[in-house]
Amino acid sequence: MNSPEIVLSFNEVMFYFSRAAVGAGLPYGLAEEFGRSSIWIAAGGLDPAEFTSNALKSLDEAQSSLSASQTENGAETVLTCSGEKTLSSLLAGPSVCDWISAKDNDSNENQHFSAKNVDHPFMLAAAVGSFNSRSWEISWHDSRGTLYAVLTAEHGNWKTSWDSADISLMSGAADVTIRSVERSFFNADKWNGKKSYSEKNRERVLETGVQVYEAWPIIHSFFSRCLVPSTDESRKSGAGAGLVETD
Amino acid sequence: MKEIMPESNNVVSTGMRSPEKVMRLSRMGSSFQTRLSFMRSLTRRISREKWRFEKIRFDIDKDGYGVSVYAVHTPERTYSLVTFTNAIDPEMRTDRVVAEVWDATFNLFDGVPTDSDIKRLSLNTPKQEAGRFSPSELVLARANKSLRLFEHVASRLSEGKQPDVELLASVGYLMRTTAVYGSGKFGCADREKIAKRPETRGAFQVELLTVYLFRWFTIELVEHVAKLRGGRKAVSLNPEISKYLGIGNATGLGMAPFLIKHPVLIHNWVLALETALSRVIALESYTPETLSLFSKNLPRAIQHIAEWNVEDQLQTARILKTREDLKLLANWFADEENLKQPFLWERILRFAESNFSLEGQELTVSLLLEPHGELVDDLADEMQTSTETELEPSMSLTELNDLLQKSFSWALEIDFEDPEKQRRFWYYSEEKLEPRFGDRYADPGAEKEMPLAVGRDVYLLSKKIKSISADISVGAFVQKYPEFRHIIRRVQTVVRFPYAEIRDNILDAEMRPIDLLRFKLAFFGASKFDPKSELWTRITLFQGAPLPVGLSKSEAEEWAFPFIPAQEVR
Repeated sequence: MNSPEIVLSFNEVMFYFSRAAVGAGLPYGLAEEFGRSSIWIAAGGLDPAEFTSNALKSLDEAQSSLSASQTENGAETVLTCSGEKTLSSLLAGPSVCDWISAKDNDSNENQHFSAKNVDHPFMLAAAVGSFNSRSWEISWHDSRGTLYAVLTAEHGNWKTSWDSADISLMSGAADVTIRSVERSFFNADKWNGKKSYSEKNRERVLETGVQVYEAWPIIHSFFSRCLVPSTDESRKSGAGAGLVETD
Repeated sequence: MKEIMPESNNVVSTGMRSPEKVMRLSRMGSSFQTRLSFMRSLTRRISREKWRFEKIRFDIDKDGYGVSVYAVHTPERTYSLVTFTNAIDPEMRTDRVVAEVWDATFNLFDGVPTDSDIKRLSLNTPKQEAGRFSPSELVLARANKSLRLFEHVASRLSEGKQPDVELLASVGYLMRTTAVYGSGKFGCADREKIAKRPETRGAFQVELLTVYLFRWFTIELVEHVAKLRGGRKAVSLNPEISKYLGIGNATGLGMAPFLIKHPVLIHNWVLALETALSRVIALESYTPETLSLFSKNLPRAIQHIAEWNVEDQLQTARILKTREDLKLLANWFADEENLKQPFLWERILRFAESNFSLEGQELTVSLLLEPHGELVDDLADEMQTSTETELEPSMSLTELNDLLQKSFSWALEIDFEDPEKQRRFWYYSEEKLEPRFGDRYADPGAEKEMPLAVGRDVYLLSKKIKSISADISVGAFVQKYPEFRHIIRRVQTVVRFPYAEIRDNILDAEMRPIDLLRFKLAFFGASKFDPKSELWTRITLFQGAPLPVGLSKSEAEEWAFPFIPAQEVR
């Protein structure tokens, strides 16, 4: 494997990724949620830039939209993009978490959430995972009909239905379903032997740092949009101490 | 998920000063160190747990340049200060973030570094922000010499003489730090890595341990240079003079956003301080010991303030008033009739509130806490948090509006339609990400301002809510208006933490960032605030604190209000 472009701390993931999201056009509150999702991905030992940069590009290039409407239809809550574009996962993710939060004390386990035509389905799993709620299954079918699913639980535990971390497996917009599952589901036969992530991954990454590869320049480029060019005047008077101090 | 948090009514108990009173910029900008300040709690812990200090490596040449490793052994772990000192062009010496070279650059290493670690650091630490670090490094920092004092001290010691204490007092340090980075900056370890360790659990403990070790290094460095220069004639610094030397620090805008980004943490700091004060003033009677300690500290404070001289005219006027306040307090305290009545400490506070400037009042608070370590020191363990802001989407807009009216009236009373009320903005410059403070109507970049404008955003939120007739949920509202998500999340969280918000407008044309800096630095334990403009200040850290060698319990407890060493030690 190539050497990483940079090794970041979690704090830097939050700093750079949330501001990159602002640079891509996300309001700050949603950008913070994006930062948390990025940390969740990084804590699994995965490259957060690889998994998130396409969602930023989709928004920046106006292929995805932050405009959506949410309706309740019996046990199903449906989130649909208001226009022709795909629904940005950067709005859909926090919307799912808000729904989970609002339903937190609801005993009706049959309720579920459907987000239609989401640009990057895995980002919904990242949003739900970073929310650190009880156990949830996030699933979608790709264009060939293959089922993908992520099972999230509290304390940073999660599993994927696929073994490889290859992001190309998860490309393409899809309808995503999020449903509550029993805690015991984590150890059910269906999920036995699946790729598993735990708090230990996070502890390991705390000791090694977050390795970020080829997609880092994309994140940094969006991040840079939040910086203000320096002028002679701002250099002189925009910050504190003088430019030469010997005492 | 959300924690169950106490309601604000339960947080601010009877006898505590209100958030409306405490969290105003004018009072925050008048803060003093207290025994709950983070440096004070660090030296208490060092003494209590008998930390052991060791000089592991000192490869420094006659001019003071080279590599050194100073270690501290705590009960469970060792931390090492790895320092590189270099020759630099005096004209390149600046305290700003935009600096490229420094006299000294250093890391706090988690453990004892190997030769390979030191080699890696030697390629990165001198570059500071342009270097990259690993989770082995807890802190990255740099410092510049006070050329005037460093050379004077080296020269005098090399001649077998002690330095001129008046000159020493006018500077206060041999070197001053210009940035101390922790919490994951530039690849260093995240706070999460050390947050559960008992010795680093408290706020800013690794950063201040770094500065404490570096202070020790600067004293040994100047003695080393003097010894190689003067040979057998050279002498060491008198221990009392060594103790009086602190570490300087130049603090600018970078520190200010921290206070706004961490509202729950700030609440916990202030809550601890106000709880401590309320415990003290609730005492109906004093003990001979506490009275004796107060009697001892009052003249120390008077002398400390008498020796506090700055060039800034506004601060000079404030210092002069504080000196008058302390004279009044001394006179009041000398009247035995005042000591005979119950609730002495509360009456002192009330006397200060009725007669003193804000600086005089806050200094009085510090004096009141000083004799009461057994009563208040436990609160130092409560000054951190892992609580983050959380959205409550099921809340209705009506309920949210009620929260705004109840807890954010200070913001709703500001007329943000007046351009002067939001003339200022905070931003990151493209140049080394230096935080800067701009004029919205004159400088470029206002559209990229940092999201720190709590008052204005609350005002805009309130206005938007009024324009919506349906009582929808917050969840539905933020889906339609995501630009309000961050401020709603903050409002919903901080209503449970009444000391969380600075209850003033930080965008106002008249706003002085230096008030924020002083507030935070006082919590660190800084003294001798020396404002150089409204944007930055110099301070001294650990002045008067005991050095690692021979650090006794009493020394670790009682080093507030340092003053110039007595004539006989000079």
